[in-house]
Amino acid sequence: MLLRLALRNVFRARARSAITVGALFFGVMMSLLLSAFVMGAGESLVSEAIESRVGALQVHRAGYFEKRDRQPLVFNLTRDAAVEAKVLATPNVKGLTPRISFNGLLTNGSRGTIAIITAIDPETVRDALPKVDMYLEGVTLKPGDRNGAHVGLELNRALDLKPGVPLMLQAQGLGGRDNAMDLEPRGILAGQNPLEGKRAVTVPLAFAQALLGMEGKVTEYVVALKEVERLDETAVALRGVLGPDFEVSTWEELRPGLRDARLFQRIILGGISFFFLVIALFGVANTLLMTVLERTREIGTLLAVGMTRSMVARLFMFEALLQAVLGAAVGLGLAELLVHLARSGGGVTVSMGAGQGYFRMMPTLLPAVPFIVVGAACIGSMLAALSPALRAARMRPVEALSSP
Amino acid sequence: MTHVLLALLLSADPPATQAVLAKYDAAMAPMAFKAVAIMTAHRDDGSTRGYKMTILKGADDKSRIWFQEPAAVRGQEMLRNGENFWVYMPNLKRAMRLASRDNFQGGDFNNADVLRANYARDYDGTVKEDAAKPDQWLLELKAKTADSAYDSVKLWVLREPLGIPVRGEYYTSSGKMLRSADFSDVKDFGNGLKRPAKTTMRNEIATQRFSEMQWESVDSAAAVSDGKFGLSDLGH
Repeated sequence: MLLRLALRNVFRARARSAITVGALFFGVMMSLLLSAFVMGAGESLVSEAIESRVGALQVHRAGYFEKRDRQPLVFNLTRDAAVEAKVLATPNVKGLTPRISFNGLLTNGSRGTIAIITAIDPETVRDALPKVDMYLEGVTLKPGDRNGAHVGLELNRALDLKPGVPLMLQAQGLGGRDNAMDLEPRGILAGQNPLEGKRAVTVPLAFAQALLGMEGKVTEYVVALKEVERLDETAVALRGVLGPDFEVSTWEELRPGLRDARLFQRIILGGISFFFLVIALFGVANTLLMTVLERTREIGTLLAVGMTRSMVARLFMFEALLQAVLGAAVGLGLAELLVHLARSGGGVTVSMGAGQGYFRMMPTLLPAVPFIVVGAACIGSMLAALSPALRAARMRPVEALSSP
Repeated sequence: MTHVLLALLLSADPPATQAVLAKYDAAMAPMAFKAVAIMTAHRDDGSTRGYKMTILKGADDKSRIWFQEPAAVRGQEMLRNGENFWVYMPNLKRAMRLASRDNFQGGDFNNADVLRANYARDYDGTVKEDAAKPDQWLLELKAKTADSAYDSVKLWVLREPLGIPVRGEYYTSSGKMLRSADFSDVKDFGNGLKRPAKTTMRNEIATQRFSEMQWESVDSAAAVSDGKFGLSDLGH
């Protein structure tokens, strides 16, 4: 009976209910959208790193990280089918690809600049890095391509690379002696962050092996996982399988800045969402208080016809809950729709500044977030309604009826 | 008279490669010396940076450099002892290891070009005539060991005095010319040492880059004590 009465009251005072529902709708929708976009940005950064550059795990020769600044190529791995088979047989491992990472001088014949080069195996790279060409504008490196190159956007501009302009890479080989070989631009890496856009170059593994005198050798294996959530467990298993001659590193160890940025993002997100909800709940408390003051005579009548004080309090609480459910439902629905539209459109492209490439972000609404936000809106509304409801329940019928 | 001399020179048989290289090493890197030199690095963007340094070379592949200018590197030192290279940073008060083939102060010489020149030991090849340069021998050299800085070198040296370099071309294992050097301003530095006072080293795959090394003095009779080449002496 109380619920029906509360429902009638909500629809009777349409203007006031609309304000309350609107405040909650705004609070819930903004909290959910903010969560989806901030979480999406963080998750897109992480998944982009895992699926296009870093991989979930990397395997190096023991000692690589300690000595890589001085002797990056000395701690290399000989490509070994038995080792690769062991890695692939480890539970949760989806794929692997060999790589060489090194530095060199990229030149156009007259000017040169230091570049960070990643040599990939075109045959297997997509087994471990399915999004390796996510931001490529041009032709992918195909098996058999021995001198193609993908060059970062800013690097490409700095060297004024266009058809007819020579492209050469000079680097110190395994023995420490300089070597230089010609490259042919195959595409531009447009989506890197500005720093990477200025330095990143991708070349075929065979090219790097010839340039560096590392035939049959690589600096690392990049490993993809079926379930990235089981990262640490898989890293431990791989360490056990490979033994002490190898180092296994997780993406969190390889990119600690990215891990910390994601954590920081989540903390900021929680704070801002809480702030939006609090603003909405202040609106709820205010309108309910006004309702109690305006409906004093009605409250007096209810008390005079036998309604208990507890029932009056609960009536107001129900009204607040109904408004919260209504506002939250509309807010949730609209937020879900907007996120769905953004995802079906391939995400949101964020420019990284004038001519500095772009970043593609996929809004992500984690399954628990709508429950948390809607639950917080409903509980918060009832808490906000508590004071006005108690004030209504404490009224004396005679005074309430005689009020103006 | 000139024509007669030229004809005599042209008719001469090429000398032995190692004999020419020994002459080259004696001129460009005497057994021990103390020198003052200025290196000017010209970057792609047109900017230049000059370094003034004192170089001390001892026997057995030992050498040390003290930088005097610019102010940013004053007090910095480099030490080579055998195959080991260090740079001493005065602000850190510690020495750090360098690779022999790292660029010398970011210029177009590598550390080996400046701190290590022993072509007789590192290279071998043939001596030829170059029809376009009748007063010079052309040495086509190939690295004897993996430790040498370049895979192959073409070196033009004067026939008289024998071994004084005029031009060098330095090649990678892929056959690409990496650097070239022009040696000029042949000068008598005293104590019988006659050698080019200026070397212009060009980066041939980034041709807007080049570096010049001007030798102000080379004292091949200077007293060079072995204690100057110890790691513990850096900074003192």
